[in-house]
Amino acid sequence: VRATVPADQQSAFLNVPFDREYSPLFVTLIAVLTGLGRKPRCVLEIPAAGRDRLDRMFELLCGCGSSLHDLSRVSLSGPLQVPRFNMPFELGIAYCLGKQTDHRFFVMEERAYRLQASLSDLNGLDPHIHEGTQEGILACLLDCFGTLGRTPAVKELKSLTIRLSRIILRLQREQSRNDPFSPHLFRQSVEAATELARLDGLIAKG
Amino acid sequence: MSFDRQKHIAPQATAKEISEAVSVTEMDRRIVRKVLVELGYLPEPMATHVIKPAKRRTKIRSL
Repeated sequence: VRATVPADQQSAFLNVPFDREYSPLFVTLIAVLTGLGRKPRCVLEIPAAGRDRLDRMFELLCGCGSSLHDLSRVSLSGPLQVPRFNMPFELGIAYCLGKQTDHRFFVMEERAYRLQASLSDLNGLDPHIHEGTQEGILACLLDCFGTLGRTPAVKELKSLTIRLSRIILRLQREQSRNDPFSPHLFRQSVEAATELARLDGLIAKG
Repeated sequence: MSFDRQKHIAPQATAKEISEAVSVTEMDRRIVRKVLVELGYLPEPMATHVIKPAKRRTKIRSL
């Protein structure tokens, strides 16, 4: 397997569960990454149908200089009550990329020491623990990502997250959705976060 | 390869670069701006055109 597109160091690929309970954490990821001047990217950008979906997902991941993998959903889920393999699968691809390129990947978990049981191949490597909270996600991101310019204060990033949450809830209501996991809501969420970060002076207009 | 505690450092992207990366459309932008204004995070857009006085349509008949 070879990376086919040059990686953009500002793009960060999000490999996270798309369930309603995860929505506030997803919003935090978008807000904080944008506040730090990163481009949040995820598989929602790729149309759900199509035979080359996996190839396009691979290209998207290759195009990102870093990736975040939240392995906190280890339980059985959905009507068939099966475990979800997508996240560990994508982590495997990122591991491969990291072996061949300077791609950086970070693993997050909700609970400490659980990963040792669910994915023992990673034993000896500490995941970032967020405890299922927005503050935990914020702390993880500040541990993982740095900027060449001024790093925004925690207070600024929290404020951005709170306002973005309100905006996304309003957009969800207007579009009759229960969660932000749709392609257009993802784009609009990133646009809203970008606009707020620009208004706060965290990033330049361009 | 890296799976470590070292931070990933990169220069900050601009607002335009972030929007372009996720292919934000003009419609997305309009929808977001509307909500930003409604929630008070952006000021109401000011009217930029000048309202001209209506032309007088009735002819004044000369006596």
